[in-house]
Amino acid sequence: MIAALGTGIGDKEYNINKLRYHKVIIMTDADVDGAHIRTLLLTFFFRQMPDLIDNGYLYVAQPPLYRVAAGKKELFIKDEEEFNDFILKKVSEKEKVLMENGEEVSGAKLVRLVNGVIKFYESLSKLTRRGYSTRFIEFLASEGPTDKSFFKNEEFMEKFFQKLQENGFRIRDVQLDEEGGYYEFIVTETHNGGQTSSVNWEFVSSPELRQVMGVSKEFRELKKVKYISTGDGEKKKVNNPQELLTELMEKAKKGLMIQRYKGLGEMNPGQLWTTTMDPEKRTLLKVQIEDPVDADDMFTILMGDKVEPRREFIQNNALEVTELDI
Amino acid sequence: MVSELHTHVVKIEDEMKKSYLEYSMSVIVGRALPDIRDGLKPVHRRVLYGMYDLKNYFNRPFKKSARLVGDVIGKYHPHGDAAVYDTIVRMAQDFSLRYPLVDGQGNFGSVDGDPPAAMRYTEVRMTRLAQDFLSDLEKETVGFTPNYDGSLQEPDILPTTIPNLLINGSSGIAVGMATNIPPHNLSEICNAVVRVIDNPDIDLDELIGIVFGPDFPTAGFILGKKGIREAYRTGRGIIKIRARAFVEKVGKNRERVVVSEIPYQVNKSKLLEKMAALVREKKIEGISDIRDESDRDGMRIVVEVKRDGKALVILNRLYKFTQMETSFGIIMLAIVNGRPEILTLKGILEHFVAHRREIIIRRTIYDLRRAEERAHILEGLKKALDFLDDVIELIRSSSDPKEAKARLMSDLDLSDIQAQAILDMRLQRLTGLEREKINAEYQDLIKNITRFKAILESEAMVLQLIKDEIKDIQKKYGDERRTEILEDVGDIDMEDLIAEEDMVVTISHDGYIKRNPISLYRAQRRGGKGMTGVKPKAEDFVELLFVASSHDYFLFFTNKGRVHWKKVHEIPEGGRVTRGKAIVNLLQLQRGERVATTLSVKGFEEGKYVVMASRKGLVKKTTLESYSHPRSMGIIALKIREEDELIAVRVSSGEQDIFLTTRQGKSIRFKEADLRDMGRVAAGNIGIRMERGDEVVGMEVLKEGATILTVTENGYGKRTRTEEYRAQARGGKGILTIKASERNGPVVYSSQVSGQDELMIITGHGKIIRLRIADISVIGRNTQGVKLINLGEGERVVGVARLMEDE
Repeated sequence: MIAALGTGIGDKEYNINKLRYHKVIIMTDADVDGAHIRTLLLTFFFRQMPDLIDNGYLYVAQPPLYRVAAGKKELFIKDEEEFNDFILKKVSEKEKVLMENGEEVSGAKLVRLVNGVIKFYESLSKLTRRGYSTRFIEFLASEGPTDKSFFKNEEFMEKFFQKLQENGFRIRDVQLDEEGGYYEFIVTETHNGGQTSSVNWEFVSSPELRQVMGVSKEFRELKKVKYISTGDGEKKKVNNPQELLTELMEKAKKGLMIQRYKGLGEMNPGQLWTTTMDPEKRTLLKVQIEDPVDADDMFTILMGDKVEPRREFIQNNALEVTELDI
Repeated sequence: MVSELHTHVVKIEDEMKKSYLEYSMSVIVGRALPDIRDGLKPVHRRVLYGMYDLKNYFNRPFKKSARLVGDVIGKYHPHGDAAVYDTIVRMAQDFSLRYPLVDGQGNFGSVDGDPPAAMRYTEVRMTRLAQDFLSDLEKETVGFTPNYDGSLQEPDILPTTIPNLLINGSSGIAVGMATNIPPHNLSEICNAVVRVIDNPDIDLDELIGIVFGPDFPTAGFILGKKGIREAYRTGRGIIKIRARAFVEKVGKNRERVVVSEIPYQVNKSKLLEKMAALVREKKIEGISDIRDESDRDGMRIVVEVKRDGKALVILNRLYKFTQMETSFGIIMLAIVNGRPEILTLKGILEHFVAHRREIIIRRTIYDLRRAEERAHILEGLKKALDFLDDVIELIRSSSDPKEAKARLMSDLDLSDIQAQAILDMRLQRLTGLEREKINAEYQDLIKNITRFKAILESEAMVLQLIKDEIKDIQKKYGDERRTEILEDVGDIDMEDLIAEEDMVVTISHDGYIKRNPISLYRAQRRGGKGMTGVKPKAEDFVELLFVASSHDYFLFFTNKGRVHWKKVHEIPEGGRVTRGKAIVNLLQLQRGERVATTLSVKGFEEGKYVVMASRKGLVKKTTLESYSHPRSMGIIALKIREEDELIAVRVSSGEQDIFLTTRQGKSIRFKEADLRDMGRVAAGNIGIRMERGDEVVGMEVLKEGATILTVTENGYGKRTRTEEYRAQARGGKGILTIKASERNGPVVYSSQVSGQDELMIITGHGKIIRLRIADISVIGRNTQGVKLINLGEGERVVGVARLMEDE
């Protein structure tokens, strides 16, 4: 690589003016190991040839993550988010659902509902990991408070407790949180082996519950949906929002050939050219150093000898990573 | 033309952060660390599920490994095939996993590190234990997620009736963290799980009484319970693993060391190579042969010991310098709720119970649903049987199945499913026996349904089920503990590496020290006692001789009041010809410091004292114990002033008398009890009050029947019985011991002697004269003394030393 670039390396030999290329593009697989290799290459350039970056010669290629084809037409999608948006767009174009009262929902409104429910299930999975029962959270979304303030309202909470008890839940240890005036209580389920969920101030102010309450309107709407139109005049029954979601996504993907790339080697050379390498069509990211001190700190924490700062960094920042590619 | 339309800018810090976090989170949660519930890393889970998919069960024929590898890679694990095969191989090795999960047919490698056969040769299937891992998988007990390309589903976690994380352990290096959990004994862990359920507040002590510690497949020993306790208490701890070895006698007087078990994860052939290398580099002496006699019946490493070697010493050296003893740094890190966490033993057990609880509840919900569905159908059938004739008539009179179904549903008030089941019923079901069967099955179902519902309502029943199931596992797979846990032996001391042997230590007049085994010394000294009389040259001679064991201590008291320690085995060995090592080089002495007195001490017993005297007449007594903590730089024994010097140190019992002699011929004898014992750093009390210019030249702790020898500068001297010196109060002016006249000159030497010794008198002209003490007359105290030697003009006695003979 050093020989190809032509600059030489090290204090004595390195000379930026001898650089033979003014576009040095890092292109690695789209998976986590590719990400790792990218960090290693970036470290090399940052430490050994920083003016390569300063002069704007370093780029990162954007190979696609998905290839979606319908017959002869093909489309390349670069990340998970774009892919989900694409599927939802298909949903809004093609799909229709029927409420129990016969009302039809489709298009943009349908997409809005679906988006809300997706967010609901995201928060639900985080909450179930923390020990809350699915049934309770779903009940909360459909019958419970839609805003934090309701947890302070005595009248509302009394009614809610009653509803819970009518639906196979048992309440105990009800008390008022001193600071905020929120109701705190423990819910146990009679049909779930006695699984308990505790509602306390921490739970009430958690971002996950906030999200659940934020989309409770969509959740309730979608709960009323009973059927999906299958296009040939028939309708298919759905029993809950989860099922509805799965069915809709499946239907939207029908007829599409979806390929998720695990490595650059999976693409045919022609595809690699058109998606990632052709200067007319490709997307590149130009690497820039905005704050040299910040950058230096980052490289030292992530790639340096000391383990503890790295572990701390991972601990503090791990919540932001959405893409877990195993 | 290069299009700039699609170029965005990215900050290098952001790109680094995003990419690195993506990588590290994936490695932490989805590669290197096990999940706390089933103790498996993703690759292991996929291998087991792959085997389940292929129906590669323990009681079915083996299947080619390559098939399993291909399936796992193609369906679930889009990474290298070598890594997957290596994983499968490891899961089949009984020296790697305490409870193997794969039953392997063929060459799967060995403790010697030889590689397994290629995947095209070997065959595999699940072990019975692994199959239990997967039981209830088909009952919706675990969540499934899409595989890497969304075409199939794979389980998030396995039901695992067995607490796998603890019994098989795990080790992995992630990013910024690592895990290292040792394996344990299944019976002990099962007992612990039951106890934790019965007593959620169980404390660490009780747990350690059940789970004694790790249990390695390779057996061996664990030294010390402290590390185990620490690891169970905090999640981190270091333990030492030791090989099992013993000493065997060969014939009359030879021994050998035999090793039958080696520590976990140690490569046997590399171990033997290392032993051989140590012998070559002479870091271990006394080994005559090393052989690996292991065969299909067991492990046996033989280390033959030379005739004069000591097997135990060699064994200790092997523990210290090879992997016969290794340390295992425990880090109990696992993924809990999608995050890495360090856990205590109790924590791991609690999470396992929670996992089993979840599985059992989900299984019961599934079983209940299925039972209810089936019961519903049977109810329909039963109804049909009750109105059998009507049903038959109805069906016969219907034009098509659809109509029959609709009429059945309306006329008999049946559901769609029930009606369909009736239509699908075979005619043989109408026979008496079949009708009975339907009833019996129905009764059974009702019973089950009641039971399932009861379980779901009762936490207690669920917990009981967990206990019952784990007790079953214990009965099926429990086995004896293999690794023995020993009390703490402590660090291996250099001492243990050295044989305990009697030594003769000699210190020469010029300050050279060496030691010899007693046997050797005797051989050297035979023949020629040496002559009395005048020697022409001042040759160095042995001034002090001690007989001590190699593990005894030597205390070197210097004139500056400091004391240094050396164990006898630290003193260099020297033959006849060698002079020995200069003491100033052996100890780290300061400028102008020299050794005033050397004491040989076996141990620092209570009740013994060290008495010191300085030139200026100060005396001090300290307990012998206060010298029991050796330090390489030496410590202060006596706080001494610039102008003063420590001249003599003796050991006493506390009840004896102390005797001082001064240069001007004065002496004092006082009871030791008059001297209070003080700390090391104290200065001391006045022993004798002297005239100006006088100084102390000798101090003794008196023995019965001894004589005091005094030698003056001009070569005169005498011996006097100790009885003639009466005891006085300490600190007085003392009484005469010899008349320090013109003729005599001042006293240069005074000491307690016994008849057999010989004296070396060294003159200023370099002459050494050797005298027998027995030849020196014993006369009264207040006398002049007799001529001991002839001196030339201006010649003075500069030094006197006792010559040590053999004992």
